Amino acid sequence: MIIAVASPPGAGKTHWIRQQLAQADRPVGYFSPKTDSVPIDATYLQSEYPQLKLYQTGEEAELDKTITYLEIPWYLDLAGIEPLLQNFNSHRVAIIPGDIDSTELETWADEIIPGNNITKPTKALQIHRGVLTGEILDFDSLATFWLELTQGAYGEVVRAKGIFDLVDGQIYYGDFTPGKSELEFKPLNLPRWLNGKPDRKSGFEIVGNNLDKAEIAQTVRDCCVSESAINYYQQQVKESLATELEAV
Amino acid sequence: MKIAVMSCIHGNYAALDAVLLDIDQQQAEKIYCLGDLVGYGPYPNAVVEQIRSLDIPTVQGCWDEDIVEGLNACECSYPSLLAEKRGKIAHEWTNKQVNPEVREYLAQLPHTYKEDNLCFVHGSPNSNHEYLLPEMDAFTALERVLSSDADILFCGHTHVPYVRTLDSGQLQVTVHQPSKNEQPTVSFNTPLKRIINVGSVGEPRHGRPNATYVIYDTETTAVNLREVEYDYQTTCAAILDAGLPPIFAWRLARGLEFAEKADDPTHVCER
Repeated sequence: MIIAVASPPGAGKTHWIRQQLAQADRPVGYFSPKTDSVPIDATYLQSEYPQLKLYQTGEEAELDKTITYLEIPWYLDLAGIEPLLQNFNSHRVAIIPGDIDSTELETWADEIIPGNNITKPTKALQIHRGVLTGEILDFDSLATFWLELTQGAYGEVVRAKGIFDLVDGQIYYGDFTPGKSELEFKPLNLPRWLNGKPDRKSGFEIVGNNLDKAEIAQTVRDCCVSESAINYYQQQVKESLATELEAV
Repeated sequence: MKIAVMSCIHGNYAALDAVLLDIDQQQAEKIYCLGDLVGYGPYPNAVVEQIRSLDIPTVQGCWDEDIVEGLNACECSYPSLLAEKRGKIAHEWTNKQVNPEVREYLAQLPHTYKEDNLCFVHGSPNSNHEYLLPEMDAFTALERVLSSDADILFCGHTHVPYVRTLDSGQLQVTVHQPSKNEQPTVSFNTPLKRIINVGSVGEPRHGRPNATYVIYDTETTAVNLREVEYDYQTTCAAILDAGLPPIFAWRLARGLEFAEKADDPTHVCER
């Protein structure tokens, strides 16, 4: 059984899937096409539900081994995903904000769920995805960048989310939708990485207009800890954690 | 006598011009400046020349010191890597712009300036890098004022104006000496003290782009925190024209300061 979920950006697909996972009493899977390079939502969901089975691109034939939530990114054409859905017994859920005209989604869906109200885009939306390959960021720098980003310093942002490895070894999840969420970062319930550059995926996805992609990329680079300093910070964190353990 | 105290102009000539006009309208008889004349903003030479031409008693700020002695960006001077990288860009740009006379003027500025029961510093009497934030614990704050041997300590550096009154009280200090049984105790009374942070003329951090400074009446001890509107877009345009990072202009227009935030009230730079 495939439960396909679609919505405009920021309307609440991942949030709705998370609610369903909380009620699941049998093995559940998750797949989001075209997001393998920066699997933000998959990482977030698995940190909340470690038993969640994540499917990768190439594993589509196995999707019906579990009840699988198929989160369809807003930028994918629904017609393009149709051949995949035709292979399985599927249920289609559209999450639609009240004030959005969504005839295509309504026609496509078996079930409609009211979504978050979102800012109506005035122009065609751009998407900018940044893939981080083992970079570790400084938290205060990231917080400054995120504040600037979400307040429009690099263009109009209608949605931003990301997962970032920080110097304390934890991976942090950031999530922004105008009018809904305030500046929000939280550490995910995943193992700390304290041995050099993390060998796990991180990055960000920004949706908006007039995005200054070059400046965004440069600013994120400026938030990164140098390779020579990574070991120094990780050693400090290890010693601090060891002291805490001794105290317990 | 009404005096005007300003700080942290940071090469923002339009803001300085507006504040000087407001000071004139407030009929202040004397002006003092708490440093950081340069750094981040596009007109470091013009700002210094204006301060010099008006013969304004001025102390050295941390940015003035760095332009004279070279940037020694100890990690503790910046709250984040991003702030440090932006600070270095601003430092290198400013360092290329300032002329020899300006550099010479900045070099001879004192760290503190005293007049009667008033003391003027950039950060604190300890260091022009130390932040005297309003939430600093009262004992430490009082120690800073007492060390200046003044009743009123004027400071800047944090870019957020405030007035803090430290009520008169009795302090008791016990000195622990391991080798002796008796612990000598010293008690003393302190009169009322005040810390007056005058905010920032050219790089505000209070959420609006307006310049801030203080008018103080030495007879009535009344403090007037002034907030002055000015054409900040002129400075923003000059930042872009000068090739400084566009984010400086974006932040200035929102009263977010160019790159930094002060987040450690007890920090003293050890360099």
